[in-house]
Amino acid sequence: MKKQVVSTVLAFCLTAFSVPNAFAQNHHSSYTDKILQMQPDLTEEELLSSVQTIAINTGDTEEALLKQIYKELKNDQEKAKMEKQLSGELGTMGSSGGTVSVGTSTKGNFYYTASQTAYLNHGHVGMYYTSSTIVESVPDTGVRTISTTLRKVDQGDAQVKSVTTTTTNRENAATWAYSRVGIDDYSYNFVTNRTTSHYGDKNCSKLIWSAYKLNGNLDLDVDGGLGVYPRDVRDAPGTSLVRNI
Amino acid sequence: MKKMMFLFILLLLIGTFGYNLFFNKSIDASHSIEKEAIQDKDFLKNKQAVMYFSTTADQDLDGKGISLAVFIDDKGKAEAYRMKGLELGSLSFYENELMLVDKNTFKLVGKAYKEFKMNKPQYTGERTGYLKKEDFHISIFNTGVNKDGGYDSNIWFGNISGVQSGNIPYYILASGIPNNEVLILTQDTEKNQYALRKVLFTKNKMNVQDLITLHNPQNSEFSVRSPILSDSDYYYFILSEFIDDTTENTVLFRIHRKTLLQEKIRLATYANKQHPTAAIPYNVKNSAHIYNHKLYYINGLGEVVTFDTQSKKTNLLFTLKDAPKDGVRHNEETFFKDDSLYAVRYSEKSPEKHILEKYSLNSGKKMDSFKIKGLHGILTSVKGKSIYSYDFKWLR
Repeated sequence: MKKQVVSTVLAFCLTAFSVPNAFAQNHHSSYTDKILQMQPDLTEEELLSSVQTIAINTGDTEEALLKQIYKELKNDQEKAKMEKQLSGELGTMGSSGGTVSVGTSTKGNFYYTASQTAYLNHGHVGMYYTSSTIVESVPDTGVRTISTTLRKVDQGDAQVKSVTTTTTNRENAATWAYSRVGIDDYSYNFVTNRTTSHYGDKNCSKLIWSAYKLNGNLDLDVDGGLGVYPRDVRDAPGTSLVRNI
Repeated sequence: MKKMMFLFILLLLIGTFGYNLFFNKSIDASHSIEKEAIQDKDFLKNKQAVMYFSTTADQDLDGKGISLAVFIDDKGKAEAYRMKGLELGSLSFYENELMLVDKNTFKLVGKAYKEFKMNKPQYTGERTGYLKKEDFHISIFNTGVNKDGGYDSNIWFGNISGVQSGNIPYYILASGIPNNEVLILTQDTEKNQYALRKVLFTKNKMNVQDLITLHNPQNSEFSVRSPILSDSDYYYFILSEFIDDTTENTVLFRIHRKTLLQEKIRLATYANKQHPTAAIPYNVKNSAHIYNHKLYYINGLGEVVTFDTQSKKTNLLFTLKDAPKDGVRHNEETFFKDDSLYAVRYSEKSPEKHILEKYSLNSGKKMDSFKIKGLHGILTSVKGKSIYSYDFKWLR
């Protein structure tokens, strides 16, 4: 009887907390499952194929690359937790705190906001194409534009930042980002997005990173590695605070 | 063995608690509306107002973005009906019929319940409203750039008999549905050009009529501050003219219907280094109204400014008491109807937090107010996602 109870509880726990089940059967590496658990929208095929390509190009082992990806994800997760605790909003966001319109700023600047999903708070970044128009990459839609008046964010952790470079680079970067509107779909792959093509599916941080990589050869990523996350762009050297939102 | 069982149960409890604490987006059961309830033809009978909240598009990364239609009944109690997310989603109401929109569906609530599914999801709304002459509701979406490089603003229109879709091939900066016509101000972001256009419906088909391109000799960049309004002689809309990162002019454009002569009238200049977004209205889609030859505009500082459409004089009619001056919002909303302004206010001191106030546009005086019970509880019960208010309508 006791065994049955234990088995039932064990089975329930495994079913409830193993994510996603399909991946659990294929243990390529202990890191693969951990990464996919933190990035459930990324497919195992996409992750492993990307890692294999990087391994061929760099000579690193796939295991080492997966370990590095996991470390970057954990770092980002820790940063998110710490910032949430500091802002005193552990548990809830937005609805109980205040909200603000992103507001206007200069072409080539970008804004950052914490952006919660069911599994991870990656944050989100978008770029000013004009003083009143944001260009950003969002799920399903891909690269889109939205009015700075209508784009709302939580007050407190959001900020507008500028990139320390020439006006020409800033304007060209914004123009390039705008040129991807309607062309590039959204990509759920944050973990190796530094290694993927500038042209094609991309997420919000990749859009800004690519824009400045191609226009000024700037590397807007605070810690390098394989993935560029929104906080990596926000904290990159060569960026400075315009205002807290 | 007992220890193992205890450990498993403890893990289960911690896991469940953690999930509920951080990620569960269910609404407090005592404040949630079941689908069966909104299908009742008498559902709206005891409702005096409705608000719309949604997550933003970037939060739909996991496909679990949500929106809420929050109904406020005659006793001031709020109840929420949960749908899929739609950033900048809005509501349409006409004669005891309300249209709710989310990223996948339209729902007609009131006279008779009917649900329509869109053939593809939308992620950003623009405006929803009702055309009396055509006897249908419309909903315009900010769809995005298409694969050919052109811009799509999809439009859906219909009534209980069915819905149809069309496309407005422009990026829309501002819109309005005044006096039974759909007006849009489109923006060409690359050329920095702004054009006023009208959306026409003939025999269930729609097309877009060009009215005029804005005269902009200084090549100013504009952002939206009001819906597009009209009277028998003119079209009106209020925009913000960008000066620098912390300074803006609030300008009223007035365009004559027949001569298409345009006027640009500066209403105010705001310069605020600390809070540059403070003057942005609570909701730019519901921030202005025309009544009795006067245009009323409420800015983000709570100032209600009038523009006399005959004498062209502007005047500060009144200011909402204790209106925030820092641009930080707590889901405040405004809605004009006839000679009244309805305002959802936020008070940290009040246990209910949200208060609905009614002001007379004739006298500028507060005529009525009541506390909204349960709204704060509904909003704080949404965990792990940020939701924002995008529309508010007085239903009486």
